[in-house]
Amino acid sequence: MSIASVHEGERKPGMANAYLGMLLFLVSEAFLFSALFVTYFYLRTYTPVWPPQGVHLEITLVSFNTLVLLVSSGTMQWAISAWRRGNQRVALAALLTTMLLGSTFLAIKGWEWYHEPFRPWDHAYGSIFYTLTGFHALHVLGGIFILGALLIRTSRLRSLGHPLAVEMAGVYWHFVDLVWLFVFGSVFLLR
Amino acid sequence: MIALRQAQDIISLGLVKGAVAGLIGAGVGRGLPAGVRLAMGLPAWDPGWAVTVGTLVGLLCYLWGLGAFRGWMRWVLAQPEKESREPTSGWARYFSFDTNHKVIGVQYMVTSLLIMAVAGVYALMGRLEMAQPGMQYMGPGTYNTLVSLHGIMMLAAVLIGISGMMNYLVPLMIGARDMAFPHLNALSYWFIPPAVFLLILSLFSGGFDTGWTAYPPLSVRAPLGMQLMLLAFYLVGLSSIAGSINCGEHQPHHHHFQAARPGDEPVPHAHLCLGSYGHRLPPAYLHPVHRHGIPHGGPGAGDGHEIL
Amino acid sequence: MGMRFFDPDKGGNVILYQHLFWFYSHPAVYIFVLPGLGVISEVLPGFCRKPLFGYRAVALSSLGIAAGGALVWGHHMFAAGIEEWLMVPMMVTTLLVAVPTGVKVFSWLATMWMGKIQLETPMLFVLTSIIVFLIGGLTGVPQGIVPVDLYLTDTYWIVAHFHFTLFGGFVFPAMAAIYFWFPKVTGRLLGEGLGKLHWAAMSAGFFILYVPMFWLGLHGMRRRIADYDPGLGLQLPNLVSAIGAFLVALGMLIFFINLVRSATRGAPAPANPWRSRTLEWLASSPPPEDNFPTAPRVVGPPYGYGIPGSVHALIGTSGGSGKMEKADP
Repeated sequence: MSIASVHEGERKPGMANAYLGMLLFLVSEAFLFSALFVTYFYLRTYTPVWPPQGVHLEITLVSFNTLVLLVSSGTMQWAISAWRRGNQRVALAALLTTMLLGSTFLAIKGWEWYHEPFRPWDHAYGSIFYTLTGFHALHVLGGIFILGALLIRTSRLRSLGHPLAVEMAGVYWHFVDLVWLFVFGSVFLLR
Repeated sequence: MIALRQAQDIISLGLVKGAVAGLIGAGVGRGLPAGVRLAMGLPAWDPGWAVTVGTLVGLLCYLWGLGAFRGWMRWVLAQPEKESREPTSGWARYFSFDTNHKVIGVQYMVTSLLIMAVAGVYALMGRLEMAQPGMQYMGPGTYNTLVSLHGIMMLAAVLIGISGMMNYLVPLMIGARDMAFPHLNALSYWFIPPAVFLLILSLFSGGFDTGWTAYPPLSVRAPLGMQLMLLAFYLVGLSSIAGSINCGEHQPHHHHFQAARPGDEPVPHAHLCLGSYGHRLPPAYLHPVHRHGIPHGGPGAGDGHEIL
Repeated sequence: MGMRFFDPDKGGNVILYQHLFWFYSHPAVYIFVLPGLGVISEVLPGFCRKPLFGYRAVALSSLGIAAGGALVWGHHMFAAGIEEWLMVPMMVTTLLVAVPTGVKVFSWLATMWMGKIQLETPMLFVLTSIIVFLIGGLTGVPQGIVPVDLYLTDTYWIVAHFHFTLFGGFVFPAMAAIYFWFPKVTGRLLGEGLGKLHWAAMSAGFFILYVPMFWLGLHGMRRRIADYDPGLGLQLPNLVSAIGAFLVALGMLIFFINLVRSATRGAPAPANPWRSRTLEWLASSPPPEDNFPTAPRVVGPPYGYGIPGSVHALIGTSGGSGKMEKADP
């Protein structure tokens, strides 16, 4: 039984099953992040000093990191369009670049966390800061895994088939980027 | 010779292979945070982290032993479809990773009834205790744990029962061959046995006295059983999110099997699918904050101010 | 793991937990009962030999319950110390969500009106479900009203209320569903005699178990307590509840025995033992691996019971071999 669709090969109107499945999954992930945002803003509303004393955010570094992630969405889209044109080598290169950019994002985030003067258990701000950015980072890591799996598979295919898989990976990656923009805006710009 | 054959039959069951792999993985996983903590210069043992990492690693090993990843590995490695090594007939199907929606539906229903029976027995014990004033059969901590477990297990039984009915009936009611993502469907089911295992384990790990709602600050002070219950809760949530994606997107896509007239579908089909999807969104919502705010160490843990 | 979301000393907030918790858990319980209510809507028409009354209203009411149910979570927190401006809207939405639920109950009653009622076990459970769910819903109304809830919350009234709604919305419909679809799943019939005995023990036991809890709640017995003062006069209802609990357990025991016996030695079931019309009854009992040899064709509404000439679905090529659903009186 193939993974992509029970009715592989049948002509069906509208969106492919699997793509819709990914969209539904992303809606649930949106709910997950919205809970974290609700927590952030709820605590922020009811806490007199926010962020608390001793919190110093690396805005410049994080802004650069945001740029890294935005570029990676660009390379992801590049991978999709290369796939649609049937260009296997370019698609592979674009996927690999996206993975590298994603890893760079994570590396910089790790450095940022290490150098922050506060920890998750110091206060509620710390808890929500690390949980929000942490869950996002986990999603980036998951995305890197997905892209890695896709990369392995694509490199072993003799020719590119339907772009469904890369499109699903793409919408996931764009979603994670979009979530980051909200995190960046709420935690680092709005504060 | 017959006994040997039967023993082989049992060992080759997905559930058994998964359980063995899972227990080994959990053991290794429990040790991992200790190693990291020692490297960081902290005292090695923290029950909260040990249980969490142990569960995570154990879960992955369990799924691997079950054969849940085989289909996906074949996809990643771009290998052709192979004849499944899983049993295709008889009772062994129900103890293995089988992707047929009818098998999964029966697995869910039987599991649901079993969980309902256990949770019902807990309630019965509680009712017996409350029939007269004074504590005749158990202490207050045990009573509270039984009531809490009754609650959370009945919740799980309801969720699983709905999944079971949905899985079995929906494809048949719309004239389809199977659910949209049979592999994901099977995975959804197999999250449940480890969740049940954790719930039962919680009873023997000090339990928890908060009721299934687990409000802080009491839940922050609860024994290790609280942690286990929450981990189990997450597994059930994960299962239901995956399962509902299956059902939720199954609905619009199989309309082409139906006649053009709206209102030609049976009512419960719509109820099961829409309800199941709508339900799953909030658990994704609830998990991260709930999880991280509550759990903490085992016996001797303080009032929530401890440093990790 | 040492997080401080809910630790007030570190800037956290315990009410936040409750908001997040109930924003999920309240819709969750409405979702728990929606499939069960769907089972009632499915099984009832067949056993009344009459179409479901107001099909479109019933379908829309589910959406109404799902949507409305997402807006009521605060009613679990009336006593927790939330702001007043939040309590009143939550009260209003809580009372409003009873409307779509009521639509279903009226539809079921109208379906039964002038129908040819067949009292086999699935139908017995469906009837019990309707009555129990109705009482559950009605007893929810006082709780929705803030000043009354301040007395009722965390008492046994609440415990009784939600067991009525959960049994009526899930447990009894699930029993009906199992008796109804067991022949399809296993190819054997569930014993009808044991089924009726199960129903009688479980239904009677249910009322004996939970009705005293309404009384206990009104007299102030708190929930989640392991013991109570003998001088408060709470003992008799608690004792009666315990007896009811054992009766329910007896019913479930009979049920499990029936399940096992029928699965192994039950009478073989035809494809459509209940003269139902939905697609699953076109498949054999049990269905083959791929369910249908070819996709069935739906040609009419699914609940046209008792309407002469109405057909729901055809299987096989037109005019060829294949079963056709006939109209049934």
